[in-house]
Amino acid sequence: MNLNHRQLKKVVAVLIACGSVGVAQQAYGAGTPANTAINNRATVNFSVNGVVQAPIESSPTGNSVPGANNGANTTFVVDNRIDLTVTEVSGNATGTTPGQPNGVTAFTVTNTGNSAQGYQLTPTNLTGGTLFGASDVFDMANLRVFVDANGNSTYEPATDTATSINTLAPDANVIVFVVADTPITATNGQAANVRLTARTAAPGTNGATLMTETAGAETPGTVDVVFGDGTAGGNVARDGQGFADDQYLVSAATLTVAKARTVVSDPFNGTTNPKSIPGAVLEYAVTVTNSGGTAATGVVITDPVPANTTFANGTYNAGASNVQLQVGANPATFCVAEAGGTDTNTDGCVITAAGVLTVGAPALATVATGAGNAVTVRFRVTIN
Amino acid sequence: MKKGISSIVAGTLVLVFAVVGQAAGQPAAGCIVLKTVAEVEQPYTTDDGETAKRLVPAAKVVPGGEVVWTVTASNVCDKPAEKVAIDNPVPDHMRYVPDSAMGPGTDIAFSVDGRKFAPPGALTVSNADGSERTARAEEYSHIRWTFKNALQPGSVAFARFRAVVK
Repeated sequence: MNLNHRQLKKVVAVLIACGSVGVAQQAYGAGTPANTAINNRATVNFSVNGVVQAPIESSPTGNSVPGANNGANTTFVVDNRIDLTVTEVSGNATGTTPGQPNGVTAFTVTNTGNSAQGYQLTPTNLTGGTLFGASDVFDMANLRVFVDANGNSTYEPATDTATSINTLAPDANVIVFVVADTPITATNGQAANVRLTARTAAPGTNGATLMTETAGAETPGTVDVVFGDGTAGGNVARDGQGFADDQYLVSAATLTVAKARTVVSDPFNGTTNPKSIPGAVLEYAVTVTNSGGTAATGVVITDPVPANTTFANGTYNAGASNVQLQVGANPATFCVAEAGGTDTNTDGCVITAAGVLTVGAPALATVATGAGNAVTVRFRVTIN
Repeated sequence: MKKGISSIVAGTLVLVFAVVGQAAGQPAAGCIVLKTVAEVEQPYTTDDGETAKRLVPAAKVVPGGEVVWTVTASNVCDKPAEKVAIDNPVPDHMRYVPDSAMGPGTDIAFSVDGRKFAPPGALTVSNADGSERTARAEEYSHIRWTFKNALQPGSVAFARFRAVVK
């Protein structure tokens, strides 16, 4: 097969392209691996009296013997550059509620050095400081740290049990969770800032043997340790450590209860300007409003039927129900509060033997935040 | 700064002359003694309290570190060496630092394959589609210093470049 000039050029281009692929495979984002020998040898061509002489290769101390392989490489060994980054994963605060255990914040620890390393992991509470627009005003309790064992970025207590990074290859990264409990005393809108610090340790030591920089001059032929970590995110340069901060933000439910009474009718005036006389029908409206940051669940309203009154039945839902519930401006729903303390229809509404009206799940369970989600429970009594 | 570099060059030359004196007493199979050293720049404070840089043997070189490679050719014969050309590959795991190659009295050419050499700007590589473009400095794989004048007996030629550990 004869190739013309243009085809030949293409072949050469392909060969060069293949060559550069091979080079690319040797490239490492974290740099040439530690302990790699870098060799160099020059060659000189020259003539004497017009006669071409055999090429002479260089050596570290000087070589004059002509011919291939009579020189020697000038060599140095790539040292161990310790470098790492710690970054916060989510870019926003982790929501929590007062008393909530095991709140999780996530970080990424990346080995940007040129050899495998381990890392000691330390979670700490920060004092003060603003993160994600909220200032740190309380400390989390029971701070713990766990490594994401299966790489799914989800904290699984049974799986993610390691508390240090045993070995992390160059360019590799791993998710680390800080797990902490929120004190019951925390209130809505309060923030707690936490920090994860990773300290470079010898690989395979479960973070126990911290790395130190090699002091003094280079020892030829040995791999020295050089800290190369930077200052991003307020980190200290060249200390072999990295940290990042995250935040727990308390979102608590804050409930207020209001109770209103209206006279619906009396035996003499009917519904026109009724008065609170014996035989009059009164309606009570109990309104629960959540002004906090998160929905309240498991809400149960209890209200003793007032003394000298009798709980009125058949008052709502065309006489089928005796309690009305309304969420904001939504259409009303109804339930039946059975006297005697047994919620026979399991609708969550009952009057206990002691005469206390109880309204709970499923009729009422959740009070979402905001005035528009306020829940009003209405019932009627007759004055004895 | 410039003064600092010229004093470094002078220091290197003195060192090389000492080596030549030593080598002259030994049987030399060829007319040129060729030597390669790897050094790094180290900042230091001069007696005047100024900050300067000096070359020390390559130490604590990590990815991103810059190494100064210096090649010296000493003519140990009693006849001039003509058409002297020093070839040096850019070492594996290293990237040539643009415009760093220097050598008094030399023409410097580069190659991306070790075969075709050309001055910067004249060296081209082929794109995947067959078109050609000027080679970038980081693509240089070889450097060639061609000395314009003959290397006289007892004199030393000098070539240097810098490369960064990938």
